Amino acid sequence: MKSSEKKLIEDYFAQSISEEDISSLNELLLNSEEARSFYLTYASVMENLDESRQAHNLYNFGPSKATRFPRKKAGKWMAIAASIIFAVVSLNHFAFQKTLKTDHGIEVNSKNLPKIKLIDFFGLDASHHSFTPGQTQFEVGEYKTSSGKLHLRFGESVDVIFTGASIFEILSEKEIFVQKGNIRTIVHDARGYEFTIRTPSANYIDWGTEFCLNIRPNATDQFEVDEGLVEVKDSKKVNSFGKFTPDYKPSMENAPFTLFDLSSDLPGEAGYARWNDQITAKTKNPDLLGFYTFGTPNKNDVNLSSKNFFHNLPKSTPAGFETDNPKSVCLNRAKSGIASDAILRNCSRSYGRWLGNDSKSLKFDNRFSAAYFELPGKHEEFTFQAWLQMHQSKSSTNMLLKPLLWDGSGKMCIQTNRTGKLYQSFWGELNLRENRISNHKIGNDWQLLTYTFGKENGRVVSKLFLDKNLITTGFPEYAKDIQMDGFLWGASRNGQTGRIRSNFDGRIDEISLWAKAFSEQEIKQEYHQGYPFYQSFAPELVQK
Amino acid sequence: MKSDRNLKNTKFLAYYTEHEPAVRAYVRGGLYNHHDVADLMQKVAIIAWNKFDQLKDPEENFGKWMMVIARYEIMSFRRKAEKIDVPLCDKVMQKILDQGAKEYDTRKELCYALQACIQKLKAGERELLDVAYNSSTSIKDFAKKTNKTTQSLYQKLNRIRTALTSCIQLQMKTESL
Repeated sequence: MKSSEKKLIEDYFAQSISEEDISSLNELLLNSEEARSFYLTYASVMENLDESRQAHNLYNFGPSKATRFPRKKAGKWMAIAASIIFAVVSLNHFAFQKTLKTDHGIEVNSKNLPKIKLIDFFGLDASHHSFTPGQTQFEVGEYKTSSGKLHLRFGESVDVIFTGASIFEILSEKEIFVQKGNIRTIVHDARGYEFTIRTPSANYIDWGTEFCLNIRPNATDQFEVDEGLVEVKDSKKVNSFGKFTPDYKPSMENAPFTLFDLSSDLPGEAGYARWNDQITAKTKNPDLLGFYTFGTPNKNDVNLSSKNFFHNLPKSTPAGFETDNPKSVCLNRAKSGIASDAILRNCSRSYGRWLGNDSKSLKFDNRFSAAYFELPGKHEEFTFQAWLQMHQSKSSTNMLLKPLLWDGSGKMCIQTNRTGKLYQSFWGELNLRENRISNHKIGNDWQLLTYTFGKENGRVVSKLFLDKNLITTGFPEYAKDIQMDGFLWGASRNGQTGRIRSNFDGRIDEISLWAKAFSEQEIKQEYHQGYPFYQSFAPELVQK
Repeated sequence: MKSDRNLKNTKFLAYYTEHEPAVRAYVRGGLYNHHDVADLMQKVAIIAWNKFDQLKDPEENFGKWMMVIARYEIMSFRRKAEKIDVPLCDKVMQKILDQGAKEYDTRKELCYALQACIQKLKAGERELLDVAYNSSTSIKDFAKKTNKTTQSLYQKLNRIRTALTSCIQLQMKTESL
């Protein structure tokens, strides 16, 4: 087999194959038995290597060695087989019993093997970088974190969030033993009632909905009910200290805990911290041309009437974008300062993709809503990236990103058709648009839109990605670089009348412009860094 | 009654554990996105468990039988998937799956050949493979440490996988002579 043929298969499995190469690969595999054999062997290599990685991740959580279950020594195939058996048990209710006793006298058998998954995390040690929110499962056993944030979901309806150093043991889907830790517990509905946190001195039983605990070795537990009802019993679960609500506390005589105003982490904070953590380094990156977030401008940052403030406002503001209102200016946070600050027109600030007041997005809810930027220079490599939601299509073509003037080579635009399907267009490249309408739509959830322009194997390539997936690839014939000059987000200028009309109905949260073409791997990294996992895995509530 | 069930469990587990890696690799060849492999394997395992009683001579047939189930599930997945997730056309995929089934017996031993081929890699290549698949260090950190770009390391990893594939093919061909 030729090495170029092997390269096609290599690119296919690396998911970096172009549409043209896919045709060549189809033809190759159709006609060559040798190529098919190589393909099948390559698949086996990928899978065998991947398996070794997954097994490693599963068995190396935290430095704690003292698990009470044979989790680390069982071997990967037994673990996989056991998980299959568990799935089958759930479906068939057959009586395959494996009973184990924990140090706390809890019996666990295969009928109540826990269903506990990771929702989000931040700042755990380096070995947890490969954790995947929503997928990584936790088993019965002891865990230890030295810092960071860890958000777990027990069953379908109980969220437990650990902040900082913690030592805990998962006993079942409804019970954990905590030696140390700052915890918020949220029971979303009746399925999670009686979720219990055991500590060395007491049992905290949640009857819905939310409470916080601070457990410290050799110190009294600190306890706070935020909402709903929590019953506290002694460590042997014999005597009850009563049921606590935010407004009612029973007698605290001999209680092994104190009521305390705790501010444990809220859901979504791990994701926000993960995102925020990389901002400073990002803004210093010399390849970053422009970086925009949409929190309310601080008066200390934006004061258009003062000469003491340096602002990088657009050089030639189009009609309708002149402003003396600081709220209409969004600063370019990139240290390079190459792109201008943005001028906002008829946009409002709305909730962002992270929970909490600090996270804001820009809402385009008016027929004149638009944001204007300037990006001087020619860029042989370029990436545009934005987190966005789209609520509806306003017209047959909806401009997401469009130069103010559509008047020369190097001008590109990103738009959707009436059904929300994305496509890219290039000035003077007539074939590009027709051939490159993707089947992918922008929807109501937060999605990452990435456009890249650069060269691959000496050929100019223009790609559009949604989340972490490549959705269209174009090969401009004439354009050698990107020259956006002045450009609009969410609107377009009528070439005849000069009027600027909005045709984007949605929100954006963070825009970045780069002087390099992101690789698929970098896009995946950005996606995982910035995706609001908690919102995606918001529990489905049931009514009783 | 209970001991019959336990016997079934034990037998199923033994056969499943033996054949799962080869069937999983076969499934990997049938899907573009590796994230779909685990989901599809779970379906295959559940179907195999439910129909296990109907299988005659599992000692002889378990692996190939599970592969038939996997093949059906792959084709069913392809019918429902969006085009971007199934870049290879149906005709090509049928040929790949046919050949995969035909070569099943030889592929079962592939993991031994893989271990042997990994030993033949240069020390630097083995180190990179270890970082990518077995270590807590990320490729990004490793790139920083070794003064290389992340992209170049990913490209090198691709080349290593291709080299391993060629080596395995050669080794298996030699063994079958």
